[in-house]
Amino acid sequence: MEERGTRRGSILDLFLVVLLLLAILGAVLRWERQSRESDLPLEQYRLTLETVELARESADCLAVGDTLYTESGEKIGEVVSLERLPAQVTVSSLGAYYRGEWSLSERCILRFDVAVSGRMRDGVLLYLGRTPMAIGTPQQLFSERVRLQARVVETMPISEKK
Amino acid sequence: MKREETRRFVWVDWLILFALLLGGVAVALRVRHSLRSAEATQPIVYTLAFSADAELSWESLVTVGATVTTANGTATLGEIAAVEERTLRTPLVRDGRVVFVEIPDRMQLVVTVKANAVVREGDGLRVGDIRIAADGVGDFRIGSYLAEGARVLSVQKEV
Repeated sequence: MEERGTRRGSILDLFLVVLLLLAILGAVLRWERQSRESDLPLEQYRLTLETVELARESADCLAVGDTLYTESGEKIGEVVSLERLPAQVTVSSLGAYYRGEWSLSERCILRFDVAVSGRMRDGVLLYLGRTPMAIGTPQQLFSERVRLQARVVETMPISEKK
Repeated sequence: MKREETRRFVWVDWLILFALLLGGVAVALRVRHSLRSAEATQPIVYTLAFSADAELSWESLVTVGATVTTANGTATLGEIAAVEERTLRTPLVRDGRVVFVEIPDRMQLVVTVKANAVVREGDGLRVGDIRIAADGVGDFRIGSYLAEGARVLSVQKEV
């Protein structure tokens, strides 16, 4: 009885050792890939974002030259261009959908470009080489005076932007 | 008997250690709070907007000079400088077109608030440790009215 218990213990030990080795191997491979990528130089990209509709007064709180941060205070980059687009409204009536537009003096959508440092991997911009900024990614960004709920609509190396 | 005494001693030790840790955390929070209170402030003006019942007598509820606090009243967020009533509009379909019509019995109250904010890089403008940013939404006690889901419309730094 005692012998069987010892043998089971040994198999369990072996299983744990194999698991531990696999975990170490995974960590080493991850570290190796990250260190290989971090050796590549960062490039300048222009990240274009579009907000959800917001009041005109709130949109006025963002200006070219403002610095944008994430919610946790990590710096994203500087706003290099900015435009206001009309906010669309869709209303349904008797099973049909109708589209209208808010006046620009009331509500609008902000489309703005931010200069960021990063690198492309598999067509996705990695901000500072680590945070993915895929097209369509929702972002909550802050400038000093305004909170922006935006989506990434375009990423482009600064040299290619027309 | 001897073993039991030893075990009780260890348990009490843990309790004391835990109490000491809690005390340490409390002291650290207090020091952090006092350091933050000592930070330089910048006067700001921000506007808060919320949808309101047009039937209520707003002149008595939201008065110039009254204070704005968080919903639970733990932080003071400034003093009311002005109150403006605006019409609320909603999109509707009329004759196959989208038109914006006034909502009866409702209005938008826009309250201008003056406050002193702490400015920290990457952390925006904070009043009473609450971040004040345009398009931010929260529950505010404005004068003697609790405005749930009030939206910060704009924020300006006073020069």
